Amino acid sequence: MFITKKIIFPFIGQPIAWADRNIVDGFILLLASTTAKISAAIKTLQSGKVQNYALYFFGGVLALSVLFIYIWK
Amino acid sequence: MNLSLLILLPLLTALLILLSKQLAQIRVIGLVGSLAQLGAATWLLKLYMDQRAAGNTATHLFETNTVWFKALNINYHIGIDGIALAMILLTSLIVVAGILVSWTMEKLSKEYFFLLVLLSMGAYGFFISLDLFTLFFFLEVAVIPKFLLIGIWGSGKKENSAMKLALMLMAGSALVFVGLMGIYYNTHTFDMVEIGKMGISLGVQKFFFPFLFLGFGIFAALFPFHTWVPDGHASAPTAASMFLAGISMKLGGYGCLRMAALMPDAAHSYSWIIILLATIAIIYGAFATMMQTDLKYINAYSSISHCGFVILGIGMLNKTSINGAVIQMVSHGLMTALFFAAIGMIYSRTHTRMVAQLGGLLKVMPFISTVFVIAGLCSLGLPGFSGFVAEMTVFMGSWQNPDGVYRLATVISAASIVVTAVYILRATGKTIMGPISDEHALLSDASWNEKLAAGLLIIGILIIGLAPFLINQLIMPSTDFLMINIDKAITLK
Repeated sequence: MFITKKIIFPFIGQPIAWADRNIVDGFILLLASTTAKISAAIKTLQSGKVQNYALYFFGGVLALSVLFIYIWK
Repeated sequence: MNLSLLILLPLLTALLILLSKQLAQIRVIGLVGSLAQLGAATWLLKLYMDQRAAGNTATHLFETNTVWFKALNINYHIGIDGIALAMILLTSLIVVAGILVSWTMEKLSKEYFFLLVLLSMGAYGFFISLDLFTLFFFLEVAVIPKFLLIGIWGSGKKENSAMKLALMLMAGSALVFVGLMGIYYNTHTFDMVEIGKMGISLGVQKFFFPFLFLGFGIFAALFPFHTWVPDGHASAPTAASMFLAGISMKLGGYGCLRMAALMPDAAHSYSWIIILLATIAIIYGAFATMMQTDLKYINAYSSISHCGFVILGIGMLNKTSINGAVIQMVSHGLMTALFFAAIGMIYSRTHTRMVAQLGGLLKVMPFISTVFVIAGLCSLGLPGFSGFVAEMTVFMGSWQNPDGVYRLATVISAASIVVTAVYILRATGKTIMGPISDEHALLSDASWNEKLAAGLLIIGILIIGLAPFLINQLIMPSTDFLMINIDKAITLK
């Protein structure tokens, strides 16, 4: 009983149970919350304004032009 | 016997449930349908054993192969071996028990019973599939009902748990799908029998095996992708917890076993990783269980540990260990379903699952307490119960591997039995022994349906525990077939 209650519970059981909730499960939750944040960030791109889409389009053309001219020569 | 009956029976039951109007009708249809499934599975067992006794040495019996989608060479190819049949019997027993413990379910009962039956259809379809695409199709059929069962009828953080479970299992499915595509574009077929005969090149095996094993491993609570298990099981209603731990997790173990046999070279190459993860799951799950205070969390975490034995048996890749893995799947399915049933019975009366708030239940609920003790003793591997047979077979198989590291893994895994004894005896002692609180003193014992459900599962546990040769007779010839492929890979090396 002494070994179980004074050694195994506080030094093995509790750290493992804590790590499972906070590190292992925490990592899975972090993945989920990161996905949600990315989703929240990129959903603003879909504004419904044609002017914005034209801007993204020309921005894309500009970026590709730079890549073609200076990098993929 | 046409194996499609195993899919048609639950489908018909589900449709009749949808058409029925009264609670009494729904219950009776659900029970009759589940008993028909159990009857069909038992009859199938008789036919199977008769065929084997008559000298039929085909790898799979009762095969049917029909073109499903010709352009992609997808076939509805079904058939069973002894391992699949053991899983079918397990599923049919748990379905009957699950329907019986749900007898008093009144909230959206039609939808509830419909989803339970639908889940069982997915499981049967999965176990009889010999085509990888059909297998994947039925795996998906079994996922969606779980999400709804937890999300609608669950308790506690049910939406969160349902979402976590569904997303993690979907991630597992996605990995499986990538693996299937990899195999298909190299072999141009989804047929497992054909793929087994022609073999898969070593490079393809090594690249795609991790996708498939990890994908199915998530279903089987492989460390560190097990975190859907505690929350999912704890939030699910009783029958859904029984189905989740008793059937769904077995889909994962069964899938891992089939993939190891299909890609034996890769399985040998990665066996040390499989064994490492399994050993961590066994000991880590056991220690994590020890610190739980909620009965459902205790059983859920212990399932992570117990399913680790399944993965360990598969990872060791020898006949005895694989036999042990299969017996452990059946044993754990029965035991964990019984445990969840007992916890559900206790919760429905006391309205708490916290060990600290319980005590002395043996005085007012002798039947439920006995069921609880039997489930606990089976979990800790007491001789006479199925858990002992399963774990001993896994240990004996694991020890056959002469590699020192593998033997160390066996010793560490065996040590988990002591930890299991600590948490089971503590939980059992605190729940059913000692003084009883005044508010629990007048509670009633199990009703007829609960007694019947528990009785069925206990019979299964005792049959394996007292007469292990019966399950061995069923699965051994099929393990021999699997070993032909697995041993061929060793010889080629």
